[in-house]
Amino acid sequence: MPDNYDEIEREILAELADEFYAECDQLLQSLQRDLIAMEDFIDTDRFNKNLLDNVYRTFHSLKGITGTIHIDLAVKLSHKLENYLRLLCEKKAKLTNTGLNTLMSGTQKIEQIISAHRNNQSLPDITPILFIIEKLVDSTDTLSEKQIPMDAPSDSLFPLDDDEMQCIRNGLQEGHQIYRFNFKPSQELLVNGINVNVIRQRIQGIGKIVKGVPSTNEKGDVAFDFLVIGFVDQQMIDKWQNDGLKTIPHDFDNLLKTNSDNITHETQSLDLVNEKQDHNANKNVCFQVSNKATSNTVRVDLSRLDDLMQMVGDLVIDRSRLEDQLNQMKHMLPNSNRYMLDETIQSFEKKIRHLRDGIMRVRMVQINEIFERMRFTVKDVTRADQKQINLKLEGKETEIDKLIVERMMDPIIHMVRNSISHGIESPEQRKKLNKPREGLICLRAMTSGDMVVIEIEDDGKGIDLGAIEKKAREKNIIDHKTSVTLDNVLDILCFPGFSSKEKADHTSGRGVGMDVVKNAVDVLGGNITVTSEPGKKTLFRIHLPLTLAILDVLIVSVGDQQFAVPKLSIQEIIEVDPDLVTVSGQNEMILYRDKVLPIVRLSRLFNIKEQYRRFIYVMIVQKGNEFIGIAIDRIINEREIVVRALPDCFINLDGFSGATELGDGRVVLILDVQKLTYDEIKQSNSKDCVVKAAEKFVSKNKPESALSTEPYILFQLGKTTYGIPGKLVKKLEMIEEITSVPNVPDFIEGVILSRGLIIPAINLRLRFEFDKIPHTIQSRLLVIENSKHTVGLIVDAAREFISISMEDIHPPHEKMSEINKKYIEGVTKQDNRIILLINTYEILDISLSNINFL
Amino acid sequence: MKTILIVDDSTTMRRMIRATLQTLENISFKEAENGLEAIECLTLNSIDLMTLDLNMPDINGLAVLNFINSHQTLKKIPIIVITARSDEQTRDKVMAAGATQFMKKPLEPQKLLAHVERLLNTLFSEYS
Repeated sequence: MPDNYDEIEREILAELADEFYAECDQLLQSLQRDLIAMEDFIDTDRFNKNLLDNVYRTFHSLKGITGTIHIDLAVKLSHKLENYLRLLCEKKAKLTNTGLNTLMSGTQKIEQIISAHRNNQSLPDITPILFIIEKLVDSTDTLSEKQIPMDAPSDSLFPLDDDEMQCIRNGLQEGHQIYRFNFKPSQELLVNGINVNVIRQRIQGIGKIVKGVPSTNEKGDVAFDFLVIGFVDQQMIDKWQNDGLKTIPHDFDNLLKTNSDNITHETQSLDLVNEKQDHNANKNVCFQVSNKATSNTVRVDLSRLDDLMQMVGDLVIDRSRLEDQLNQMKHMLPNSNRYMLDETIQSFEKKIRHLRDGIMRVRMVQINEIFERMRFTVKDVTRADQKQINLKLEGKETEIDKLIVERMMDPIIHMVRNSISHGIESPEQRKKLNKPREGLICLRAMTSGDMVVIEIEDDGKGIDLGAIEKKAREKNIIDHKTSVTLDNVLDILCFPGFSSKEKADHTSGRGVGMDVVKNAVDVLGGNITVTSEPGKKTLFRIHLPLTLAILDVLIVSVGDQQFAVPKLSIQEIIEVDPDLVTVSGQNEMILYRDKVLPIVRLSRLFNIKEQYRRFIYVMIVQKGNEFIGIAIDRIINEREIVVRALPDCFINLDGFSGATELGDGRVVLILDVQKLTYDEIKQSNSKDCVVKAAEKFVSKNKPESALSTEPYILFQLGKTTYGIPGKLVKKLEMIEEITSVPNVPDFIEGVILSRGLIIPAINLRLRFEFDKIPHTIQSRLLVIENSKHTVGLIVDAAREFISISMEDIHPPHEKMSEINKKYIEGVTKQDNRIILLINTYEILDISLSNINFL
Repeated sequence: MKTILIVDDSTTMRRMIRATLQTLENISFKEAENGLEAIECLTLNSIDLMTLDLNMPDINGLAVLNFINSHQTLKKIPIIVITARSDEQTRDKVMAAGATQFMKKPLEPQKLLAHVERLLNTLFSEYS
């Protein structure tokens, strides 16, 4: 037993921390969904055993996990909530409104506790809620702190209990059929990837598993029996036989008859209820085998995906440069070569686009993650407000980048709360206005080109412009001359400090005002608009770009400077005769399509010396509900660029949403067309300022080698961490088929196909003379390459990409074994662990030479 | 080389147990996240020890224990039950169903290691 066990435990906990929190999130989400489904059982005698069991188990699991990370407060609260649930499960209490509310508040509190623990903040106080739970539990029964003693379900498929019978009935009513499946696992099947989990998923794909039990015969063979309600055609059933999955005939009519006597009247009332039940609850009436994804998915850290995006971004830049340079040289080539070159350039661009799209798709999740959470928010707010809300969700399958989900979750929660608190009237008021008692809140999501549009609409009393005007004047946000209209109301609402009080018991303690919402949208490169009809409705519309990092832009020039303008922002570009521009005081405008179009000259805006032009180009962009024209000198070309954020000190620089590198060292600022009017650009935006910004930006973003850090990929062999320069690693894969090669040293496990090449697979453990261990789920193959060789290295695990600065690397220690010294070129220390840096030259060369092939 | 089967529906719990036991020499691991998968794993592989959570969906740990206990060969495998349930009734049922050792959550890594070492060595000495 190692002496430093505490240290090891701490290490393990630190490493697993992210996983813990991710799992807590999953459990909390599942709880929230299930608790909402439980609404239908308030004050009734009806009882969904499986739903309750699920909730009980989830609290139990939460207790277990939080106990392991030592969040004692969460353990205590989970435990108390479990007590109440136990009463419900044992039918010693009926679910009341208060009870469900308490469960929901309890869940939220646990979420807060975990979050506070994670961010090292002070933990919330749970005394009030503990008190409420005690009252609940006491008021129904006097109990000791015992838990429900565990019960083993029957060990054979029949007889079925009431809930299971009900599930079958429901299914039959919907037109499904009953099946009895038997699966016998075997080594052969396992080798082909067929195991009981795969079989279960397969069955779940065609219906619901009512019951699943293991069985054994006299010889000790094990098989699994499933009772399923669903539909599958005969062809499929025949195919499944090959995978060891058979159907077993059973007299189901008999089964239904014997159990039907007691249940007829219940079925009737359930029919009525079934119609009203929430979609979620319907799913839970049946015994739903847990849907945890098993081997078909990989859980990926978002930061790793960010790295991938960065790499693709660099690729885009380099490709662009290559294209530029090749285009300059093209005229030196004969026609036929020029043609081929064009084709290759095109093909290259297409492939990079595909790659970019592919990686982006990996990051996509359904916006449903946010939408479903809203149900919870609505329940939460309406509890206190006594308002009735009907929440409609449209387009919840719309896929958006995970980052958008993370950034927009809180802002959208805030807007929904606002709608309920300030928009929707009370049921009595609504009745007077001849509106339905239930207020309607509609959340919609849809994609439109490269954008995703999220709408939040309510049929409440609309935006009271007058009240906002009054409040804004009181807070000196606007002066007496300015009036509040739909065009500027959003700017005012989003002004920091506009919304004063936050009702402490409603919010989750994270003061979110409309300004935070706007900020979140801005940072993501999107925009938000509002429309409203007094007394009728309010509609917020948020546009967010799907492609977070790579943008199609037009490069335009103004004077001697160039800027990038996102293509999507531009409605149209027109050529205008300068003589046709009407001047009125400080403003210029032209007549366009029978409407007046104000013109903003970038040269004037940025104090750039204008060049005389016969015609000027005007880009027509949409700003809020109007259009404005932005005058530029020339359009240079269209490009794909990678958006890089402007350094923090320029956050207040109006008019720019970021910057980009054209690949030849030139930096170009990206215009934020929404902010380009004379009022908004403060005078300090002189040309010098713009130039300085660009210079600072370039110096901050010099290529990696100048800052002398190198990216490294870390891998594990046993307990030791090694690092290998990222540049050399071409690919990181899971271990698949290795073809063994006869008569080679044992550290060459064989050969493997990678990216069209056949390369040797070297077992690094053996190479370093460690013990060989079988491959595990974490084992990886690192494909490394130099100009001469490509080799695959088998390691125990490889998870991290870090940057190591040259200064932090020290030569290897004297006491290292000879073999180690040969392969280790340096040692570095990071976060209290030692990383041995591999001498890749040696690894690549020594691996292959000095081998006597017989 | 001994093989340990870790059964728990929580990914993190499995990793934690695995990380704890990985300090032992010559051990390989298998994991299962529900009862059915655990039983399948026991039948298709040669498992020397199993850690079992009780709180799992579909068939719970107790059912798994009962099943194993009624199986001629499988019942010889030492089983350490690791659970958040702390009541006496559960403990009694679990031991009666053939569990070799009962441990409570939150996990105490030292104790787990000690039990595992003891049980695996016993196994070894049976054959020597």
